[in-house]
Amino acid sequence: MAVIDLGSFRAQTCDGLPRRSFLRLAPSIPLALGLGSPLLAAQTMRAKSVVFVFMWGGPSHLDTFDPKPDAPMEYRGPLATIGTRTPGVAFSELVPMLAQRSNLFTLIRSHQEPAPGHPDAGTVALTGFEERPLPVKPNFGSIVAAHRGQHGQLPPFLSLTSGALADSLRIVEGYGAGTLPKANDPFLVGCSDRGEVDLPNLRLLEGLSPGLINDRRTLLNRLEADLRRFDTAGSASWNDTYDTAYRLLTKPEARQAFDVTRESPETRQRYGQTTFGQNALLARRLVEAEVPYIQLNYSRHPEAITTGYELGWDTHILNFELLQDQHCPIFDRAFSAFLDDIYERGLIDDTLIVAIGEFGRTPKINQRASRDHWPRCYFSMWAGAGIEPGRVIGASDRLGEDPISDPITPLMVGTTIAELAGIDSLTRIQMNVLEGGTIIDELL
Amino acid sequence: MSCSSQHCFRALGRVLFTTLLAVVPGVLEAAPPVRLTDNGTMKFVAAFAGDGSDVLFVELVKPTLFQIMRLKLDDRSVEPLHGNQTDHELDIAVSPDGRYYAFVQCHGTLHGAIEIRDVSQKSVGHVPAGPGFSVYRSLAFAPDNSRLLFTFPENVHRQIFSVSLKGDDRNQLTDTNGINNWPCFSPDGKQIVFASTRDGRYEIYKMQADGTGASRLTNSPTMDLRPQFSPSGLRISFTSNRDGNYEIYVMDSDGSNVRQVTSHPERDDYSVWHPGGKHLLMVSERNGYHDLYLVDAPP
Repeated sequence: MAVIDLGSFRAQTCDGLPRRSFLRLAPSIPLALGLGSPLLAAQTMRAKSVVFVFMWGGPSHLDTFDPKPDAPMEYRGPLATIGTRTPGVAFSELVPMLAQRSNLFTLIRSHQEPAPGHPDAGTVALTGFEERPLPVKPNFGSIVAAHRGQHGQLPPFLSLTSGALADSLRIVEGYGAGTLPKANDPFLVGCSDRGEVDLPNLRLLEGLSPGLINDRRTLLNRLEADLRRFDTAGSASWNDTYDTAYRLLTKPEARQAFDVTRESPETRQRYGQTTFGQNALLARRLVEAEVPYIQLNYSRHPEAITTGYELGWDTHILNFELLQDQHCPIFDRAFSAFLDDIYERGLIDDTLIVAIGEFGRTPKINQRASRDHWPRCYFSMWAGAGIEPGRVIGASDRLGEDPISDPITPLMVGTTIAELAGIDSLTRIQMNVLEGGTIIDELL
Repeated sequence: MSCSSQHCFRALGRVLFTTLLAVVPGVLEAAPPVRLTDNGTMKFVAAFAGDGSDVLFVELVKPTLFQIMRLKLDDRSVEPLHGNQTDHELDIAVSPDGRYYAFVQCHGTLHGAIEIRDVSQKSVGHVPAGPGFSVYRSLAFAPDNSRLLFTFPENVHRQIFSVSLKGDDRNQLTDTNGINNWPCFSPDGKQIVFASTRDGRYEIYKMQADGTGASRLTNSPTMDLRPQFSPSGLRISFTSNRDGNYEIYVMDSDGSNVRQVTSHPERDDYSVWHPGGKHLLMVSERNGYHDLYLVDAPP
């Protein structure tokens, strides 16, 4: 199953199952696998909520959080470095706000992963494993969702995006539940730069607009009519997964959590009037609602300049221009506001924040004065859940080509997330997830 | 961009712009910047058209599309210059006499060509994208409409080139290490000001129109970007983050007498001169909103 894009009824199966077959099968899956009962609660849970900020496309580590000012120009690039709140640590001049907040998070500069291309590396980043051999492993969020189960009205795993993560060729196979029951797939929610709610999973009705979603009475009428239509069509069993998601909009608790327009103008402005900024604000609201896992995606697509695709960090061309014009100002502002907000509201101890891409970018500038994919070395940022902030863990070599400390892998990222979310090693074995993973000792 | 009489259009533009300044209290007395748009969406390169009555600018109209918009200063209305486009439009330049404009139009993946059109939007020239990933940037017209400048990365470094308005007769003007970007002709067409990292960081340089005789005008530990000659040719506006944040500055054309135009904790960028030479248009971020503003230029 590629993606449950039930909203627009464009669901397709890779294994040839027709859409209607899936709709009949779906309700039986959660019951068969006992999803209603969360697995063992671990004793070490520090994070009620995990916010996984996915910098899709692969941001350049040299031009952001791991600059190399002493490297030759064809490596270090044109950007200056600036000091941070962490003694002896410099960032690129493109992220001044986060430089002033380096005391709020811990930076890892020694990541490494095996996949060279986007869909594969995206799966590795989200699951800890490569897409092949099959089966595709579960997204870290699906693991947390399966462990916690659903409490209250909100799904346990929300992915903030305008649609399934994909590049121009195909979706990221590690987007969802993988080997876990499909009920642990992410529920997709996004909002525009105006704060209009968009629910890609629920584009069942043609013309289901954010405005309509905000009009509860009209929406209810549409939903009821649609349910009757499907019942008449012989899909009476269509209820659990689909219906739960479908009816989510009618629940005041859920609707309130999704509605960033309830925030003060000042708060919304702090995050910036950008799609990522307002989604970051939505993530903070979902933390307050104690959603266990929130995947905050920088963009739906990784591409830099491609017709019809959202703009991600994949800067094969115009690397310095796009970072300077767009990506770094957007990210610097929104992620800074998010960190400030989480700290100011006293949520940091119960929240784990991880920001990471699927890889870095070539330290040596390419023929197009830009940077290509670089899986051998990249960075991440961690905050909350008891992690001591203001540190740098690991280091890359003088050109930013390879870690000079033990490489930290995506599987270690996922294992550490799981551990902090209360899924200890025994539970991971019982769940048959994150096999062979170890935690990042230096973080904890 | 359609007009039956160029002279009438330009005269009307002058009247409208003067009216705009007159009805906004304080503008003529070097007061706070005047906000010209109000939707807050991210905006980028801008250019005056119609002798100052219109502004063409690039806007991220939705997460999947950069589009050139036209702002009419008389009624502040904004509409897409080319209607409903689905391809990215990345840059905009207008010839000083208002007869032509050029922009970068993208197709497919990482492919951007230069389109050159007259004021009625009829195509007069085209520079096709190169093989592979290829996007041109930073367009600028010569005052006599003989050449169009652009930048393009080749062999690791980004260089400045020029073509005729038909898009042919390509001529390379820089051949240095690093990034050479944002070229702009002086009003007499004899010089080009631009930014370059040839000495390590983004600084402002000036060279002869044929690419010879480059000299450095700024020396800042951070970025100096997007220089623009004033209509008189005596001043140059540019963006710098030398105070830790993107601000607009103006200096004399020899690099002396640097004056800071804006001072705000949020971003000010993409300055262009109004044809009258007394005001600068810029994209400013205020409370997280990105809009076009007019600000007085220092003398």
